[in-house]
Amino acid sequence: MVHAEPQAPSRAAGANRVVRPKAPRSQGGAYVLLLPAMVLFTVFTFIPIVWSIILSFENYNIFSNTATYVGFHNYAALLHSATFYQSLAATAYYTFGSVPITVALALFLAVLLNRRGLVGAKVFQMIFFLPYIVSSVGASLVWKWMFDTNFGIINAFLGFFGIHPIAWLTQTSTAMPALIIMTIWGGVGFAVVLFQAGLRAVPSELTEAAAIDGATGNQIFWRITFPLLAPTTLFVLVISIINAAQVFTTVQVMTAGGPLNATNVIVYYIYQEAFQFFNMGYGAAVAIVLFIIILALTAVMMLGSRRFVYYEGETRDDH
Amino acid sequence: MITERRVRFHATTVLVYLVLIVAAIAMLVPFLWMLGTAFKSSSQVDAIPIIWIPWPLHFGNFVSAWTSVPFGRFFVNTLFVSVVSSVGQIITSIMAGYAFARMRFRGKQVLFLLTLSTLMIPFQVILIPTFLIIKYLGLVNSLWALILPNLATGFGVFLLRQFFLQIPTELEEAATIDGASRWRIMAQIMVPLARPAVATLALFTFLWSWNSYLWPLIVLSSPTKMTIQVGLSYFQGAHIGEYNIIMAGSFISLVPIIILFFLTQRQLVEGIVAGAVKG
Repeated sequence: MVHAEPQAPSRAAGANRVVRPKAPRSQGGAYVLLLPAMVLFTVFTFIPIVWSIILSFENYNIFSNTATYVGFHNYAALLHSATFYQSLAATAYYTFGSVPITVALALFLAVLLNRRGLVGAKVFQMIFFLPYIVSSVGASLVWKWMFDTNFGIINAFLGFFGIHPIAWLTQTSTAMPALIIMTIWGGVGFAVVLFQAGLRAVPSELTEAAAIDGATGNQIFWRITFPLLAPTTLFVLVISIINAAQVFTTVQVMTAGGPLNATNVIVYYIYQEAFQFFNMGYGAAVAIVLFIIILALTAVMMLGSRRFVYYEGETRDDH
Repeated sequence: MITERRVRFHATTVLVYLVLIVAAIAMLVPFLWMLGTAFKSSSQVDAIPIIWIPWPLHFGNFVSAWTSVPFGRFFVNTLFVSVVSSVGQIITSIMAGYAFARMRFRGKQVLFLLTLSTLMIPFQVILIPTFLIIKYLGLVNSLWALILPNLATGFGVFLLRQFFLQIPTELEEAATIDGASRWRIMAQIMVPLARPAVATLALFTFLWSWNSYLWPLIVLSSPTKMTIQVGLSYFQGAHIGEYNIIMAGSFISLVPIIILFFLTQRQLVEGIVAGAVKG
């Protein structure tokens, strides 16, 4: 049995030391140290989350600051709202359209970058990562211009292949694909960085031993590297899905939820209802639904991971 | 046999580089297209066939962009928000992180779980009540509306706690024997040691402040109070269709962040790998 020690990240070198607080009794100073953070958490996280739930059962008038209890009215209203379902569908389309491609592409690029003796791996990594850092309003404006029907670079490029100009952002069938393309551009580098770190932790003894035994590159990847990379893949998936479900900037800048609500994702819908139509209670109800969806997705993935993800040092006993 | 292998090896290597180069070009095209457009005159923007590289370079767009809205003001506002938020977060995170890592007290587990739970709650979910709180505090259209909710984060506390846990206790024990008080130990030994974590926290808080859009869009309304992303959005609203000027403005908004990226990219990558991800 080969005892494979994964390469520990350098900065965690001293982390194995067991550290325990020495003092046996409660230290009053601790409360003083915790006070600022806890007060801020209370005012800006705990009160808001409770208030969100309360608001979702109210009609709140933002101008007079008065609330009237309406029971489940807001929830009933959203269940009867076609726009609400549209926004759920748009969010699902955006999330499941962008995340799998981003993750697969990132894994592929990370594996290429991980090749021994590759010159310029750092430079490539930097180039892939750059879009992630800038992806906000500026980048969205650039992409809006790239997708321009008449003068955009994308239609000009497609023109070389004889494809007629596509009205990317102004027709319902192509607006979401356009947003997804932009999102993949912005998100790949982030996932590449995480996958590279994950790949570095795969013990080279294992892959080398397999190579000596005559395994092909494909076999080594799918039988050894990919299973060992599962915790990283899961982490990237969870983070990417949670982030995608909360998209706002790109949508607001490039399509403003249109055309005909085709890209009206859930956070944009909340923004519209609460801050353009001032339906605070209704917006809060939609926000609570978003919260439940995100929690449920995370829970499902975490539970699923127990079955499919191999963690270092774990023994398997399923049959 | 060997030569055949070698040929195959070379072929794969060439293919790998080819794929990477194509991917890199795809990543860079938006930046080049932005720059190319920013240097075009209005007639060149709408020219068919497309003018790929404008000549002569038309610098006027940058002047038009810079003078049409108070970009300088946007930068100063953003800088103010990010610096104050960073400093606040560093202080609250060091304090709470130290308490969680090194001190013993009743309710520690509960308080730590509460801290972690803040990471589970997306800001978008609590957007509406947070706005109402800011409104009650009379801070709508003030930069403090951006700073206050960001003065302490679960991410910062957790990051510093993890860092303090890695520091060996021997240092503190020696200092205790020498008669140093806990407060002195914290201020003079632990805080200087935590510098890398503090730098990571500052960097990510800065990036977050720079790129955040939804919250500033909601709470800020007058141009003199705007941060860069809202300002840029406001700016493009004034130049609909004038893509040469819009691209010049976008470029202006990206310059500081690109410079920061080149200066700190190693730390950025390490921070992200260390789980320093702020959703």
